[in-house]
Amino acid sequence: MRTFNDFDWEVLDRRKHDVQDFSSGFSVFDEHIRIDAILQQSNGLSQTRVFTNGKHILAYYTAKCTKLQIDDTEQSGIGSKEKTVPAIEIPMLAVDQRLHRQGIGEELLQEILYQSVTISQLVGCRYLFLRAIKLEWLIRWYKDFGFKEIPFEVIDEFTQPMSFKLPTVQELSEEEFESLF
Amino acid sequence: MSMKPLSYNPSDVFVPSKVTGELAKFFIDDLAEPATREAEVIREILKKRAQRNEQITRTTAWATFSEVAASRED
Repeated sequence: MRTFNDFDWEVLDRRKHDVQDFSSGFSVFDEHIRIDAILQQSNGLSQTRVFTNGKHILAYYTAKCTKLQIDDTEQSGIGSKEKTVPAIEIPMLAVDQRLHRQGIGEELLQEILYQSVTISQLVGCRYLFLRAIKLEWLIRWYKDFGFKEIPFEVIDEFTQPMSFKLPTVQELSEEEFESLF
Repeated sequence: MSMKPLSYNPSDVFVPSKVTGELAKFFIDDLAEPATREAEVIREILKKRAQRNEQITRTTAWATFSEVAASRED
């Protein structure tokens, strides 16, 4: 496994990061970081972070706020008068295909989980949602990180929605909570 | 290398805005359980990050020490 000590996570900045060089092998992910991620970020609709050495992008993810709204007749089961459950959505995440099988995917997922749980300790957020490409080994990999398959058929046949329930303040110790910041 | 198309629109909501039926039951049941496994995963990540930060600190300290030692030799 390679180490990437010269690389760090930064907010996407098109003046600094070479978005044209990024190549995931899937046009939808590459077009997203070149166009949509920058547009959405400039409008405050989503935020994209990149794993970079200042120029080259090894991996990225886009995150935004979302919510889960349980139907009125069934909301009593969520243990609150609130009908909605706050969540974080990762609409896009990708690793440069030239760096597959070098531990970048794990770095990416750990960063997403770390940042999500940090946010959840500050503002109250119960879920992390993302879509996995429908490959058995990939879904199994996400499950190893505590994700669950959401039993919902999305509009496309290529992805599987996954959920990760963010631990509450009671489920992490005070020391663990402190170490997040 | 050819680009593979992936036909989904990232702007589409992938969990319905209002969940009902089987999906509502999935979330209600899930929310009723403690996030034990998830907390374990987070603990493991925190441990790995602490180890990595320690490694980086050691490497940086060694580099600084080597630089200082080299400048004294000069």
